[in-house]
Amino acid sequence: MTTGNGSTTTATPLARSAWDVVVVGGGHAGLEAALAAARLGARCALVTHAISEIGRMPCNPAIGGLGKGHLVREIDVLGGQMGQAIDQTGIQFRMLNTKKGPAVQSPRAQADKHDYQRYMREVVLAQPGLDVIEGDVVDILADMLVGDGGGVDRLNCGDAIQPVGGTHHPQVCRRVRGVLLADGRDIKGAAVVLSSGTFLRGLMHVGARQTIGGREGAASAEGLSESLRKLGLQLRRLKTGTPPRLWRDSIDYTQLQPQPGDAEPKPFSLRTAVFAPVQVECHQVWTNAATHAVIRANLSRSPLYGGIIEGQGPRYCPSIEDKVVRFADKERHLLFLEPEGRDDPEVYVNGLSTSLPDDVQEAIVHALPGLGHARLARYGYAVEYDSIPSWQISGALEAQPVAGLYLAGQVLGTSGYEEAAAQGLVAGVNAVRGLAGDAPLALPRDTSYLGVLVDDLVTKDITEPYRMFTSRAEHRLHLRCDNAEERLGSLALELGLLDARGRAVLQARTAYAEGLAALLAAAAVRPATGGAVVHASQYMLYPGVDLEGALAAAVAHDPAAADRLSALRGALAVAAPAPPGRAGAEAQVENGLKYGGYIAKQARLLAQRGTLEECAMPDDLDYNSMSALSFEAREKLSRVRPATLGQAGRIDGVRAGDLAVLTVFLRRHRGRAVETGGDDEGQV
Amino acid sequence: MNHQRSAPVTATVVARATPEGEGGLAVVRISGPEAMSIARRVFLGPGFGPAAPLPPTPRRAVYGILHAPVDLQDIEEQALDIIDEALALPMPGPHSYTGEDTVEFFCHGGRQVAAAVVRACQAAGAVAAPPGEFTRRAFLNGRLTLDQAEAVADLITAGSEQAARAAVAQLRGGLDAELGAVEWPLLDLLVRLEGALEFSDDDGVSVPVAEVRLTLAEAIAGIDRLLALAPAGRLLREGIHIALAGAPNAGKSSLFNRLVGDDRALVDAEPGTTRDVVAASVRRGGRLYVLHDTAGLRDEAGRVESMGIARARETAAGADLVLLLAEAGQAWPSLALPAVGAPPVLRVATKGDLDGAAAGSRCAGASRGGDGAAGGATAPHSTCAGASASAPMASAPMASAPIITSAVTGAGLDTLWAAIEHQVETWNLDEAVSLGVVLNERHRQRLLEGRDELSQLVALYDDGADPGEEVAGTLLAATLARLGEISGRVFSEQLLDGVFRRFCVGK
Repeated sequence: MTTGNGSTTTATPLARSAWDVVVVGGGHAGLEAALAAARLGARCALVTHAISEIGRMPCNPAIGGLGKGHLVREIDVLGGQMGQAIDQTGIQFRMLNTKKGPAVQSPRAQADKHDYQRYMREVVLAQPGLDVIEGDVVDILADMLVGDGGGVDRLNCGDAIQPVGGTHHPQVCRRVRGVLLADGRDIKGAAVVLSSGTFLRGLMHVGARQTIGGREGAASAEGLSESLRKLGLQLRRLKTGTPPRLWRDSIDYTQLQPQPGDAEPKPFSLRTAVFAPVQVECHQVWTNAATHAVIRANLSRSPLYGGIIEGQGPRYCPSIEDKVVRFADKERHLLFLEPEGRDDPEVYVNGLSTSLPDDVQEAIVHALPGLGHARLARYGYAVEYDSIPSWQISGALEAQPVAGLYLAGQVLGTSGYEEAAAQGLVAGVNAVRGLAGDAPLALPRDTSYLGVLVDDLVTKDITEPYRMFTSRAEHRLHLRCDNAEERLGSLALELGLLDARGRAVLQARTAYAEGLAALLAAAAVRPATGGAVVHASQYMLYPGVDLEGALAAAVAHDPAAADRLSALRGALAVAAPAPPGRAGAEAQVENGLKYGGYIAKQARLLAQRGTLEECAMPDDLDYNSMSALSFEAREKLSRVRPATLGQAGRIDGVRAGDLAVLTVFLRRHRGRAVETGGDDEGQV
Repeated sequence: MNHQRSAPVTATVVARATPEGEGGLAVVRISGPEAMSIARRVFLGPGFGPAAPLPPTPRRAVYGILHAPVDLQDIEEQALDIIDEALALPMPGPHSYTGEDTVEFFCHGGRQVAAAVVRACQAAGAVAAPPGEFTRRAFLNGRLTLDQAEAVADLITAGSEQAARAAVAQLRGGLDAELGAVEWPLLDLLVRLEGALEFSDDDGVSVPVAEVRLTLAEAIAGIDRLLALAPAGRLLREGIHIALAGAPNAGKSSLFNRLVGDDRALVDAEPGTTRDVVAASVRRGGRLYVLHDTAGLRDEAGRVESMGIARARETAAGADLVLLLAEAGQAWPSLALPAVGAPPVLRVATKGDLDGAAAGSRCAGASRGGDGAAGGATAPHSTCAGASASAPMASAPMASAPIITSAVTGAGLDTLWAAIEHQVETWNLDEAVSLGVVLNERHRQRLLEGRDELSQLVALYDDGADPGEEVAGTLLAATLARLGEISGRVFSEQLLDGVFRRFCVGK
């Protein structure tokens, strides 16, 4: 193991000759994968091109946000690192969407990106069972699996070999056995998690200038794309971008509107015991007619509009030139000036992602209020990279044609640290479970955003970088930030990533929340507005009554309730003195009650709509023989191979009519409820 | 059977496509991958038969001989066991009703011939098609959407010209278009609500509550317009049910026979002759009417007759329209209709050719039913000045003079039909036909559920409790899912169950 600073010229001896799990990439996906695998007891190697780069925030210096904050909370409950990292290194904490309902509120925090990176590096280096190796991965090594062919030609195995039966898939081509480094070292691993971010054939653009690399100052992984293609994986070009950074001392803050953190900041992690962040301010600035004029006048010099960039960029986080063109009727766009660290001299201009030439970027910045004399520390750029279209993975995040090869993060076409970390956690866990012959983590859409993310990756044809939104979750009234413990707690305990203290805190919080709910359900109160005595849980549904109000009314009505409440709180304080325990559990109970009617209703609706989610699709269905399916559906179903009828229905291009057809076929397949006699001799 | 890999995963099926019974012509249909080869084994004619040098011309009928199946390899040795002379119409897939290779034989009518043809096809390898199989295949092969399949079922069973026209309009997408007009503004609203949630921190976007409420109100109104057509859908499909009710010997059966134009009901001067309900259908003005003659209503009746009277009341309550009959000059009997949902009642004075006719003009009148507070459509034993004395609902649209009829002379029958048609016109049948919206119970349930979701949302705003975009969006998505099930755009298992049940064999 080396601890050097990015030097890969001399091969260092390896700590051992083979690992259970080899993780490629030390970004937010890779480090969660490596930590999860090691914490589950696997011997794990994390291969990164520079140890100093582990946990780096190459884009915005922040964690969380709408939909993303939900993911961080879930990662935390399951035992991931991201929540604790931001709690320890955050310099501003805000709850977003506070004007909207609690289900769609989400925490976001600015990080001191240096502290964050340092924290993550130290956690990774200190993790027992996890070796860190510096090196550039140039090839994924895999053994061909020789079979009889099985007559299924849906898999493209790359080289002319035939698929055979695998653990998670009916047919695979190869089994992974490790990775090859540029210096010739062969890192053997029974499973490999590939989380190489934007480094696959990375190409950066600033105006007409192009630089090969995955991000500023870092080389690109050129050989890996070819290696993946040889394994039978298709690749797709995607694009993302980053805004310019300004020197802090060149900004006239007197002309900008400050945006402070929350007066009562809340931590992300259940396990954070000490939390007293000293917060800094961000600032808001609006673009104006002058900025837009500069952009319009220089559109022809944009690689995006000049036709140089071929990769598809995200609609959700568009470049400033995209915003000006696509939302031509909007007179202004909001930008945020975010410090990259407590003492960092650079400021990130959130919302000003661009790949326009240097001089245009300067002109844009100088046209903004308060930035007339701002100096650019770094220019914004767009980066194009190869991604692996995610229909080629299973719900375990395992590549279909290569047993034991797991994919996570931007390499799968997602965007964002949180999305990456979520996949890293799932991939790391499944890599270990796969080796043990265990089923992959079950993450249904109705209990987590993690489940929504993984299911979307499997079923959606992702043509632009994917980021999480609350509207992607049809169960979002239940999938709240406040109840991640309730939704995933038992899975977390079963999974075993949490340490003893984490388990104790989780159990104490769960007991407190359950006790509180029971107390509210049993306690009688007399409403302040008069009327008959009702249960406190009903009283809470009255307009303007919150949990504290209901508890106070319960205590006023029945002194015994006071004793029960203080007993509950006492027990929690002993087991989990951490600040989030009580407040989070109370929000969970309160919002659970307030949304309870809708959640129950949604559950009824889904139950009425049939058992599509429970209806398993046989592995050997030959979709191509079902002429009744639309051509597109046949193609998509063949390559995705959905696990359930419900999942089949979510695949892009599979219409309701196709589902009806599948249902008829499945009934015939199972030989039940067949109205058509003597009609079963087909080859389904 | 030789299944090719790309062929539909189905057997070849056969069934008689015209109704059982005697007739000039019967059609037998074969559909499936083996349809052509089976046809060649049972039919000898141009393009068919073992020795045919060329396949038959698609969609052109040819004359030939239907026979028991022969072996295609060894034709010389076999004498043909002839069943019938017939026409064969070959329709190679996908240009057929089912989307599969199809052959139809037009043979002589009657039970025996068609049955023999079906048996011959079975002997040649076809499987008897269960009810609805041909339409199921049309659906599975993407030839029909689910609601179009339902329209086909309606078309087959259409009892009147109007019902058939409505079914065709629905088949051509009428219902889809009307639903779309409700769905699109909701979808647009949903997109805006979601946008307000995802981008609210950028620039404080939110959808004004007034706009949300307006869109919801318009959608509810749109659903209500469709729901108003639901009774029309049933009336078109099942016909308009008219019950004739009245005192014993009021002349119900005579009028019934006169309206039906047939001596279907026994007529006798003795009261209580009709003890069971007799029904007959009449087609008039493109519409189908089903008339029900019922037992006379009286208190002192025998046990059997009492049961008949109970059934008469039931029939009246379940009918779309009741003709309440009384001999001119006699009092109106009590129908004891339910307080809610009772059909409208037309009063008909009978035996207008007899002496009491003059008096009848004072008695008879039309009133709506459901006047439960008064103990029935009309107060029992009311005087013959009935129309005003029995105080029918003030808002009743037809609180007009009773119609005086004579089954003997036929007098007043035209007036009676005009009154019936006047009533039927209030049920939007013509609108349903022109829009192509023939709702069935499944459609109606989904519409009601969708309306329910929207109303709940409206109620939240009415209570001053802004549910927030996250709840509004969730409820809207549920509504759209409900509505989407009508056309099959959104799929659920229960959706499928109901759709193919209603078909007869051969379709």
